[in-house]
Amino acid sequence: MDLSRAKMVLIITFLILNLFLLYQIVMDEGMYNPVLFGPREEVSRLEKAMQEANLSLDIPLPRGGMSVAYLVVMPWQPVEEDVVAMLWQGLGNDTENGIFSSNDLLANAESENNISRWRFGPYELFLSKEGPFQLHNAFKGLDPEKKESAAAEFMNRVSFLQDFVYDYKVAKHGKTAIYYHQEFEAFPLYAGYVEFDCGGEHEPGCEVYLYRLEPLGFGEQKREVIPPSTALWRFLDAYTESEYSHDPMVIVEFSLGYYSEEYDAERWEIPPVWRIRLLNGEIFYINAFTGYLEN
Amino acid sequence: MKERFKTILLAGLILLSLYLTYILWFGSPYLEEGVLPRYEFAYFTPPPPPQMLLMPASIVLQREGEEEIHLFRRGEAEHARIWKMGSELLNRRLPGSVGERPSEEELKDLLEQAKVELVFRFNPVLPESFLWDRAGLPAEFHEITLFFSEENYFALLEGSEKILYRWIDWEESEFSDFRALIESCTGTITEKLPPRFVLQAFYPESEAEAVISIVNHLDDNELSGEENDLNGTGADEEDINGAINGSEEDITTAEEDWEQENGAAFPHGLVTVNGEGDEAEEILQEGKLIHWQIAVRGNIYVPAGLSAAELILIREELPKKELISAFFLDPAMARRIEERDGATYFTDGKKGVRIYANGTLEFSAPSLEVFNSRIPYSVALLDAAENLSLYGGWPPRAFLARREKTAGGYRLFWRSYVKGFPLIDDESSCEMLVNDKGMPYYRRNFYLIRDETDKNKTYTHYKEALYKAINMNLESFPLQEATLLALEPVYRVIQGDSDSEARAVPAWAVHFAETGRLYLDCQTLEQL
Repeated sequence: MDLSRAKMVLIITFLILNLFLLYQIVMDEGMYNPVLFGPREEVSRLEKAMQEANLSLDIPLPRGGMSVAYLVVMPWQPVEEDVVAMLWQGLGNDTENGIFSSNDLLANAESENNISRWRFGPYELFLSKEGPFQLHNAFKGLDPEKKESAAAEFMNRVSFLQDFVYDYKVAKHGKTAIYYHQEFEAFPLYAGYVEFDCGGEHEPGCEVYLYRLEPLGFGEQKREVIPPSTALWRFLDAYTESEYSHDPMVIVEFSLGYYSEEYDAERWEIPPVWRIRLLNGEIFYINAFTGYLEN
Repeated sequence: MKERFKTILLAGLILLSLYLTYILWFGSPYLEEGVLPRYEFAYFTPPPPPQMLLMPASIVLQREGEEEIHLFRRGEAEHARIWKMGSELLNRRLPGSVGERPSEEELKDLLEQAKVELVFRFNPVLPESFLWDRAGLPAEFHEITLFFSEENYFALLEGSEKILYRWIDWEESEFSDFRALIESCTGTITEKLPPRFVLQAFYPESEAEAVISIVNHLDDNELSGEENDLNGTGADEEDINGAINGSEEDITTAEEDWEQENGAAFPHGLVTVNGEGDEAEEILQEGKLIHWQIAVRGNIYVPAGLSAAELILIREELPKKELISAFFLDPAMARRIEERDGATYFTDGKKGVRIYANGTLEFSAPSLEVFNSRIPYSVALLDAAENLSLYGGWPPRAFLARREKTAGGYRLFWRSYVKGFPLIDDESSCEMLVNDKGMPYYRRNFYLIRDETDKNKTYTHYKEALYKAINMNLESFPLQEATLLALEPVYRVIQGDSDSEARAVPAWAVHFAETGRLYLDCQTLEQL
């Protein structure tokens, strides 16, 4: 056999070998699974654990590998009259001939335990220094199916809610809860939210809960977030140990954002979290730096 | 040209196959397989050796032929020196020695023959393993007495039972240094309070100040009449004391007279007179005499002739960055929350460290709490010592002052001591909860001495302090009987104008079961 033919045989042999090796590697990386990815053994372990927890995942896991920093925030402390005026306008009322032309407004303000209570028109507003604002009787008299669009319109009209985006909607026990969350530089800030609790046919209006933060910027030190599969493991640990009903359930959202509890503080750092939302509206926040459950 | 291309292609394919084989063989790392953290403990101060970790609350020394009792207190150089040598001696001699369980009579005889008696008094108790490791049930000792006779050395260890060690085969060289030390050292001269005594106050009509005296009272039904100390303030105090401190018969007679006259049992605490005939009449006309029967719980040694200067204190300030690094292996994991009251809180979601505006440090890790801790006392102490050294360091004047066994673990409290005086704040200087899982809670607020004032204050006699404490709370003693739990000279910490500054005032700490703990200025006896 001459050298040239020998080389040709070897080239073909190594080509076939390399193709085989590539196929094996791709299979091991879990390309056969459209939802999970990673080494095959781990994917099967994760799948098994999810089956045992009666959970299924109908969305692909996002890719990890991002480096982010803490988000520094401070509480939003607006002038109360301005809030009332903007809400009044956001609820579709005329400011020219509306409540601010009368002197009743200030007389209707009461304050107790760091909570101011405002009554204007048919509405009642509780402004807390520490927790969310509460607005009662919004969209009173509207048909239930129109309340969602009224909420969207309200979000568009109120100027201090321009950095909020639609999040999700949950219907339970004849009631509908519509959620919006705050955003900062394209990252969801789950700690800031607006919740519309709208009752069924017999409930005249919606209760609105509003918690807004004042983002100051990101911290200096960036760190890589934990992979989504690690976050999923941590969630499974918490979910199986929790008292939640372990009926079959679907994970409908897996996303990265910022979340912390509400603090009565001057300013604080908010960690990045992997948010895992279930079909029934339950939400788990896994700290994307430490892997600890945040809520 | 073509052959050259084939060669290069073949070489490339061979190299690629090697690389792909490597990837397939070793695979990509498992997501759960983290990088092992490489860290080392960075102690603020090294942990002290076990025998220095829990030092005696006090050391009492009595030598044959001397009336004085010497007291050595925490924070005094001699205290540390005697305990160091004493514990080393015990560490050397106890292993291999066989203990006896002596009868009370035998023990009494041996102690009477002792030339020198040295008592280490522990509060909190000392775990046996700090002296030597011995198989068997763990024991705890509240008192260790070393005493020497002509021929023998003894160690009496008192816990739930008394164990006596006797060394006949001692070598003089082994004990000579220690013996020389305790035969020559001098502590604060102290007085041991009798188990029961009567505190008398005589109120002369003509004088504003009462005259206080103490009469030893050896038995519930018997007053000895032995005069203990009769300091007073009046010019004619000796006369008054002579009149009011009568013999046992005088008092008994007075009580009997009262009972005969009234046809009922003598109620303790009523105005009574320890005089006879005209003398008693005279006292009654001049003023009145009140006495309180005081029962002493445990052994209370009260130092005499004390004086101390006021101290200016500042709060310990720990380097924040190092402290956070000690609590969180990766400080970047700890997010920072600036609270409205000026405190800064760091948390990683599982544990949190709060540094208050005044410098107080508070750590909590609820996930480490347990409901049925089984950690042995000695292990809890060693863990606590390591934690204290890691998280802020072991201040030079800090001593373990109290321990509480709870279902959640051992709660340990430290205090600072200055020249024998404990610094008493409203809270202890440091508190730590230790259990099998770790340290769920830790609070630290040590004071440091910034300055010592020139003004030296002399302590008023303790009987005046007792009288004042009783007189301030008369409603607590309806039967004019009191149980004294503690009486000691202390430094009472008084908060200054600024949150970080305070002053330490020399004071008497008087603790009656009926009133709780009271702090009285050592000179004016004003409540602090």
